[in-house]
Amino acid sequence: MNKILTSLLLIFSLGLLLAVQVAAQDDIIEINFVHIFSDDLRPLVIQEIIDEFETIYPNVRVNSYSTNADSDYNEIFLSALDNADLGQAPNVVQVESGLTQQAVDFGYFVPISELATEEQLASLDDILPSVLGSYVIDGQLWGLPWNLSNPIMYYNTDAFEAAGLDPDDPPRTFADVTAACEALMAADLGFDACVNWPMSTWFIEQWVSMGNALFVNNGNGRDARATEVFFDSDEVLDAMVWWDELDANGFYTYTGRIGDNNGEGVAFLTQRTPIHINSSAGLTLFQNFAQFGLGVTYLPLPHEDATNGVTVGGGGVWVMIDQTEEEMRASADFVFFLTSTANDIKWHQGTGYIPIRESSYNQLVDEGYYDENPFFFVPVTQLVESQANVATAGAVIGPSTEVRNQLIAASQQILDGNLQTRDEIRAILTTARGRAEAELLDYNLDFE
Amino acid sequence: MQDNIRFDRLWARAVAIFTVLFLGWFILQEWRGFEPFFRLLWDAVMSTPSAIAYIVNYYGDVETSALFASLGIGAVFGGLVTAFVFVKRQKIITVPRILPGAFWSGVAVAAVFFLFEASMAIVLLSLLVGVVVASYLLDIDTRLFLSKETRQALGTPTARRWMWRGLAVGAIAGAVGSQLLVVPTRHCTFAGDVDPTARWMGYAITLIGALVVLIPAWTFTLRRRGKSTDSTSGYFKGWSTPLLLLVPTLLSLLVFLYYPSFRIAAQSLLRERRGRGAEPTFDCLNNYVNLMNDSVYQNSFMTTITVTVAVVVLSMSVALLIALLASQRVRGANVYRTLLIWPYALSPVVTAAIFISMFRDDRSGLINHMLNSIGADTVRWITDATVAPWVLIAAAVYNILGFNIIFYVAGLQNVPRDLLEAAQIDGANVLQRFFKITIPLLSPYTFFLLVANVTYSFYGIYGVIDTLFPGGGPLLADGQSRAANVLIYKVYEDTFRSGAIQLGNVAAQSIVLFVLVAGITLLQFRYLETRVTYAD
Repeated sequence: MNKILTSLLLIFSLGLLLAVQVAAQDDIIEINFVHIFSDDLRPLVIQEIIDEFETIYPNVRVNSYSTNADSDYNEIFLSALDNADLGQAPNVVQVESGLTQQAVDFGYFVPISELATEEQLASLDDILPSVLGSYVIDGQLWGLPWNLSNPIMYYNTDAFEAAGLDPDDPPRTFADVTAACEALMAADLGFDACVNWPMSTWFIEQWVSMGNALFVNNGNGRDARATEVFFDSDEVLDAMVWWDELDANGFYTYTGRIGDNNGEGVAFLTQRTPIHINSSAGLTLFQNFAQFGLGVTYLPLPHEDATNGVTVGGGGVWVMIDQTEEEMRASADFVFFLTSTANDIKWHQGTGYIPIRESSYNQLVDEGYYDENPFFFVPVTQLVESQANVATAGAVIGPSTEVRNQLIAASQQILDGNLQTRDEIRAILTTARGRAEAELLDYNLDFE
Repeated sequence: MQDNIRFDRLWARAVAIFTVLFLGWFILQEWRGFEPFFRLLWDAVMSTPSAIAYIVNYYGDVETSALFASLGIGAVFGGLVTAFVFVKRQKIITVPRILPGAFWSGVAVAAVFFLFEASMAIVLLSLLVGVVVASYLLDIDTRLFLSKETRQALGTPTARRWMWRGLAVGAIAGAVGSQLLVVPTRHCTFAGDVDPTARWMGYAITLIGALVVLIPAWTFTLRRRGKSTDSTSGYFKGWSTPLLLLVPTLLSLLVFLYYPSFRIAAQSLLRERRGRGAEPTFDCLNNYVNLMNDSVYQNSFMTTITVTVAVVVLSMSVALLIALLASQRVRGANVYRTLLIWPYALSPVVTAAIFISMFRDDRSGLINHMLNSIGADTVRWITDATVAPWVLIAAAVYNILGFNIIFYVAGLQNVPRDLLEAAQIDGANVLQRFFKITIPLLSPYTFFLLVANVTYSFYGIYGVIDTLFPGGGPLLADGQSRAANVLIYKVYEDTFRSGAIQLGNVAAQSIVLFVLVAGITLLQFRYLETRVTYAD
């Protein structure tokens, strides 16, 4: 008797709970948008854009999510995939350009060109051709570019003056940087080294692109899957030889940690180096915190003729599969709204990321925005003046982390030793190339 | 008395009902999160018949030569070992014990091979052979292992009976057990054209599977009859209430521990990529073979062993010394103790952040700043491949030191003072008292700390490395291995820093790591706990 009573009570209570849970559903379409920005500034700009979107599309609600403070592109990408496997895919995901091939291969995303209306596709006309081109794989437009940045050179104008250099005529090429470093270090201003930049392959890839060369074969992996990586090309070799020379002369330094963007930036801000190469995304930060005269210029060219321009890089917004028809529609509307001219300008002014549309650029120039913010003009013109071709579109590589890690290891190996001959450097790069191509081969095996 | 028990039972039932209600409410609240788990459980239950059908079908199709080979190996191994175990348990023969001297001799032999950079397999093999040979040489009581007496003892009818019994029981259990791990590998290691490494690993897993069945079989056939279990120890009479109370624990263990473990083990036999672009394919033991042949993995393995040994030895010996000092009866001893335990309150990440500010390569690092100011050369603490592991070890030791000190301080308070005083009166000096009384009485603490420290060095060290050496630290001479890239860091990096990784490879890494830690812990329980004196 007791037992029966207990069981009845139990069932009844559970039923009650269930009844309470079943709430009335309204027909609001909810869109979940995942991005990496968890700082104080950028989510506010995003929310502003979302609020505006919701007034135009009253039946759509956009929830913007970012993960914890130090999460990176890889983490949000992988957690989006994992959530999709659990049937909880977010609708719109920010995907870094290095992950393009994986995003295409893994089958979790719908190409924008399949979702967009004629009208929306037409609105892509004024996106910078080199930028849009980097999102086209096999003739399909997969995502929309959103947060773009490129590497620029920051320098300490006080130090330049003290060393008798003209701060208004910053170094333009590798040779200029070396010459400036000789002057800066000879002046004995108490710097640890002359120049620093994060241990990464990003800068090397820019120098390859500037020389209008490819980083991987098959049209930088865009005509067909990449099978070779050109680590030992003349362009990579030139950059490595220069880098090794700087290092051997005590001109170059890094924190010893891979991809330590913040650590390297702090070294420049605390005046341990007078020249610093890093992403334009840090521009606002440097402007706010530099206790010395800040100068900003273009990423140095390998040589005078290497004017092909920088790669696009940054992140784009992609739409995930497993959504209802309405959600897909709303997601597409949202990504187009997010990257429209008005919001492109708002995003640029609010965060320092580079505008992606010619119309935005023209409008900003007309309004005289860059007269007040001359530093922002540097990364923007650097991008606008880049040629639109496969070299500047950047490499798409399936196992991108693995392949790039091999080049990072090779760079460290080259810097770790004393000054090495060009042939020794080439040998190290060729070994790394072999290892990277083995990674590529292993990956391609499963996706062909 | 009777009323009391009844009252308690009602209490227990009330708690159980409340627990179920709470769980029900919680699950409904968080249904979105729970749904996949319940779907998983449901699918598992629903797929049982098809799993059985699969196995039946499987045995219909399997290559007969492979099947007989695996059954044969299991049966022969099981029969021989069981006969031996039975005869030994009946005290008909005795075998050498593994004495501490033998153990350390084995370690010494292995260390020599390690220093001369022999391969991982040779180092482990030399350890095993060293221990066994030294045991035989050192154990005077049993050196007559194969003597005339032993042979005579084996000739008696009792011995023969036990041997036959062992052969029969062992052959059956061994043959059944051999299939346990071989079926998941689809007998692929017994195929004609398989890689030799995979073939040997196949034999090894056949034997391990056999042991999994053999060990319970031994316990079952040799158990003492008529030994009553302590009936007063249990409180609950029925099974429903305790089961209800256990449901939350069992459910979470099932979902978060057992299922993932089996899934990972199964995954380690596949070639699998993330996403829906590539179908997983069965890949025999190739993931393990590739790991064995991967020089980066070998280096990571060796780094892990070195770091673990150094962290365990240093953290425990330093902690004991500090605990001895902290146990002195001085003014404000409590304050000192609290301050000494403090580092344990820091997470590994915070510890590493402190260390990075101390050990930065340039002059902004505290240590280098000091070296610089006294005119000494600065050291590249973070980027020099020979120094970096020691910075890691120092940070890890600092991190876990407080934990060890707590236990040793507590342990030292349990060492009876009268015992120490008696020894002092008998003329034992400080060192003698320490080594002959304090250390043996601390052995339960030492044993526990050993297990905890080994586990920390294998798993807990991740946070320290991720902050101190993101990417795995400086390069080693081969241009691709890294000096602080221990196994746990490597498996995490490989899995979560890149989406492109072949998932079977990282699954195999996890399994190797698991087997390693489980094996070490098992060894510790088997051979060290017997030497622990619990002061009871």
